[in-house]
Amino acid sequence: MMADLPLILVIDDEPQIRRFLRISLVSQRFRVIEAATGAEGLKRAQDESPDLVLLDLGLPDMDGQTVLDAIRAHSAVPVIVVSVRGQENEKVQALDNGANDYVTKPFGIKELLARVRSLLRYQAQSNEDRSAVSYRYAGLVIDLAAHRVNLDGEAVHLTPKEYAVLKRLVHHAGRVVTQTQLLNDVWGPTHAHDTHYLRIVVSKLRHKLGDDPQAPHLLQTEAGVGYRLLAEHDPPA
Amino acid sequence: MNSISLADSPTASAPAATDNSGSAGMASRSPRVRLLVALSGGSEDAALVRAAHRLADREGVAWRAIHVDTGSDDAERRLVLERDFAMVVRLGGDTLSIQGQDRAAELLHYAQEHRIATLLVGSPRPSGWRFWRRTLAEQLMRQRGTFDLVVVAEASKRPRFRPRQSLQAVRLHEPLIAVATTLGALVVAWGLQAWLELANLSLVFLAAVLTSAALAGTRAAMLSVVLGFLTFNYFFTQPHFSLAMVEREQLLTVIFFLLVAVVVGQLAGSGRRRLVALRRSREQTQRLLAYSRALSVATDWNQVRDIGLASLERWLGAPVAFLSREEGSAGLTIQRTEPPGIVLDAAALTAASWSWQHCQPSGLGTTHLADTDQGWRLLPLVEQGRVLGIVGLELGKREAPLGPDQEAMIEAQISQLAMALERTRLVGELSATRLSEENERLRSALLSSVSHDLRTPLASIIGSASSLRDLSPQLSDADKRELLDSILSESERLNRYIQNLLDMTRLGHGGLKIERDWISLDDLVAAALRRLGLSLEEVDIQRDWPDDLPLLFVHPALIEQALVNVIDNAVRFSPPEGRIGIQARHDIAGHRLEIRVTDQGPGIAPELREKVFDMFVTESEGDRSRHGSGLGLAISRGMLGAHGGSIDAQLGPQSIGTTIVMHLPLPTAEEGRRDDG
Repeated sequence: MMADLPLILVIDDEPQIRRFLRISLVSQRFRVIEAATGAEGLKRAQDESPDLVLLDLGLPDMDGQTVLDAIRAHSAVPVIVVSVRGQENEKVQALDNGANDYVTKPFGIKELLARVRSLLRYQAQSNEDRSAVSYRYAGLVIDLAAHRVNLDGEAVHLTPKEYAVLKRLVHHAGRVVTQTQLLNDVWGPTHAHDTHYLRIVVSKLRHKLGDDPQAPHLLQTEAGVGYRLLAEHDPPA
Repeated sequence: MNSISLADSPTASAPAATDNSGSAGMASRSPRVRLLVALSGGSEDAALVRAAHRLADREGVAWRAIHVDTGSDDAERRLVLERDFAMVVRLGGDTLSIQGQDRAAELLHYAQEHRIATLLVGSPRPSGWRFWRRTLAEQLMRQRGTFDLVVVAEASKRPRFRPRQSLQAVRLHEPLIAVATTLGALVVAWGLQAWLELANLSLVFLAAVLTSAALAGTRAAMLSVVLGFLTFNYFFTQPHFSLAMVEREQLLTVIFFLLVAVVVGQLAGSGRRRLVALRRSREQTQRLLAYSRALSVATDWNQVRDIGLASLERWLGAPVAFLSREEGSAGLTIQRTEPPGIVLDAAALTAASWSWQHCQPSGLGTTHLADTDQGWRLLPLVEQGRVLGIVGLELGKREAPLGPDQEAMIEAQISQLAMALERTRLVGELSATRLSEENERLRSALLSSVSHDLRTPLASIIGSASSLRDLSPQLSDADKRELLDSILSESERLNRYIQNLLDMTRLGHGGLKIERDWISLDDLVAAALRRLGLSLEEVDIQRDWPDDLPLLFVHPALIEQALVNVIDNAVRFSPPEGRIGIQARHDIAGHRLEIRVTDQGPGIAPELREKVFDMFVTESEGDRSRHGSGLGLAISRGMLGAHGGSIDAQLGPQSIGTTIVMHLPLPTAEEGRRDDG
């Protein structure tokens, strides 16, 4: 029975942080294993195949990016990167290198739990046909299978680029998608740095999907990193 | 003021022009010397140098002053040359001295070899005798070089530096020596008269001439010749006691004596002159060498200045002063005098200001403000076109006026002093730049480590508190208690960091006051462990010290903080359930207390054992460091240091972990008594 619970590996050098993560995650019916160093973390990730890894980028023995690369070399396990503000570059690099999401220290437990759940849910879906997923949030219904977007029952007309960006965000609903990833996928590698394209499309999307451009709640900007479409089950921020 | 007449060498101007255009690209890469000015040590040189400077400036080319040393220059010329060269360097040119016999030929050769575009030569006033000689300019014009020849005629104005005539003419000892040697020769010759022939007796007088030459120079020798000739003639030739001569043989002897004596006297005299000059120049060289050696080891501005002044004063035997403009003040101030306490009168100060403004010497022995001056000469120290200071020499206090060699010596010492001062100034500026860069680096390291130190406990506190609030229904009582403990211990840690930051600021500003009190080590350690509180739960603390430890006489809060930092450090590196030992003992003499804190952590690499006490040793690791700022150990070192103690990191016992060894001086019996009473 216990073995069915999702196993989360926490790699962080601060014992106090590991402690509260352990207590909180266990109370939410997760199993938790811990590692204080990158080397130990890699070993446990290999030996015990966790369902999700929480990786602190500031480790004493090795670079968090190195740990991420080593994990990615043999596993597609979802990885949430934990970092402090001021490490935006490292965060984006980690996301582009295969991390699935991130939280910024200090963080509240709810924020972390939302990320963890969203990732695990996405992982569970992965066997289904992801192009067939649909997304609901308040009056908004996005049906990727039918290529349809409805807001309060009315069809929303999107340009192909807007739709492509939205589709990508829906696939990763609840998780951050970096600017580079979006530009690469939608515009192609040659436009990987043309962030103004993205900014225009996102502002149009917000407008058409009834999001408040001053205080967007549906399509959130993660400053310096990318965009996040609020997950269906997340409470509004 | 100066008339400059351009005299193109008639056939060579065309090839010179093509040469110019062809090498323009090369010149732009490296500033090749295009303009050459030939100096001779004559009075026209100053005008020449100024003209060359103006011309080079206008055309934007590099220029060089050259002097062909034919070996015939006397001390005065050397002095003038010395000054010329100093002036050239001041005006931004460079200098060169080449050896050769024929000035015109050497200049021509050099100019052609180095593809000089323009050659400036002076046109000295005719020097009276030797009127048959062509001037250098005439010779060069005749020889047709591949360059433009510019002849600068000297304005009919007295030279700025007028070398003093040496006062040898009035020396009294020269005729005295001549008379004495001749008298001696007379006595000896009179005694030998019976045994020697007349021709051989003349050799005795020749010896007198040689002696005069050796002792007092050419003039005395010539006087001896005349005296010898007369004496010899009067006493020894037939008829005796008369200047008349009858025998042809004797007449010939006397004439030959005269000829030989003149030649020998001249030769011996000039030999002596050379010897004297050589000795003097060797002395000067030695002195300059010692001087520059002393200057080169001096490290800062004041030291260089003081060495320079002391040397000048010793050598001149007259008071010297150094004036400079202080930061922010308008006028010149006397920075130092040698001997100390010398005051400059108003006239000298005026002259100093003038020199500062015009970059030129003034006062006694110069052409500027010489009349108003009471005896000071003010020499500017100029380097790279900047006046670094003014050196004042109270030459009026000297008994003897300066000779040309001494003038040259002053010039050399002043320019060396200027160079040495400039060097220290540049070094100072360089290290100031480095220092501010270092400060900047430290500041950013401090910010990043402080933010890490503050954020890490905050992350735990926020995470634990939010878990308690949001997940409360799902948490057991034990979990809640653990989270609360976590919040408490992390808050304590945060408090310690803040305390450390405050302490560091106080250490940095020297605002740390030591208020000593008597306290036992037991109390200090107990207080430190109490402050560390919950963070000690996962380790095993073992205390070990004798009961008879003497009391410490320290500032309790500071030493407690030092202990807290060291123990906190040990705890943070310890493995779970690791053992932390705190041992203490005092040495037999009772002079100091040793406290050792050992942990079983990963240890510190030998090369880092000293560095962990630097502030922000973790700077390169930024947020990745486990240890945060490492401020703690640096602060411990600061606090122990403030008590006259020390702290070091060593390998732990059995080569496991780290031992931090602290030493604190124990109060001496006197201190104890003083405090008791």
